[in-house]
Amino acid sequence: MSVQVYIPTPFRRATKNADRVAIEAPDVRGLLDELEVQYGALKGLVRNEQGEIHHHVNIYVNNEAIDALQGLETALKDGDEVSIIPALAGGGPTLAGGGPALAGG
Amino acid sequence: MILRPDELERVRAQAEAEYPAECCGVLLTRGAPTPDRVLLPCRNIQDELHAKDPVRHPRKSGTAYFIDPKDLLTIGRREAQGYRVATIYHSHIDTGAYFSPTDRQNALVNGEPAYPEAVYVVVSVVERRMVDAAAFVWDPATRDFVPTELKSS
Repeated sequence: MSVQVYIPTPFRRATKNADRVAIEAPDVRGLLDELEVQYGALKGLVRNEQGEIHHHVNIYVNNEAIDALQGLETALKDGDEVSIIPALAGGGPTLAGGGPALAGG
Repeated sequence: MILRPDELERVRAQAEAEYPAECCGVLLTRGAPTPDRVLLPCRNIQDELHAKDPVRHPRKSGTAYFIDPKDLLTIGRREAQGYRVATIYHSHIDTGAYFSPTDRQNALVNGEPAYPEAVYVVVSVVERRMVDAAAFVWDPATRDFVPTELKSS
């Protein structure tokens, strides 16, 4: 079975700028395994060395986060669309304060 | 133009409305030389993350933003339609419009800029009024984010 995987901008260096790739896999874990075989530079970007998905990365099957499904064991079927979405985050001063003056930039 | 006056006005309104939480969002563009522009205000879920796991997410929304993954999925779908993330904006609460170490850290993936072509806009909101705005871009020469003119084309 073949599923379409959406590759976000931050990870496209690892896929030779491909924004979509087709992968055959029975579940999300198998899909990530196969992705890392085909695109070795993805190793470490999506999962840590223990094979766990980084906390700043979300994976969706169609429109559903895998956290709300069966996680890495979420089964895939032909035609599914998987999206790998890294966090977009930031923030101001540290918890202890110490940011620049109000007029800083 | 990084943000048109009407877009900056919408960012101001969002930033002031969401004070004392940091606001966040993106500008998506498609095509040239007169691109379609979609300003997408996003939801900051930092407080929810903090409530779930204060060790992993020690900050609250007054000092951090974390765009709702549902919004990120929307951004991804737009990218698949040919849009690109042109601007990423957020507010700082009662402090300056600067690119903080946290902003820098979160803008990098394995030391490389996550969105190398995007402009990061930071607006300063003090006592619920936007008092300043600044823009920052990735500079490959210095391998850092540097200020750029917010009104430049």
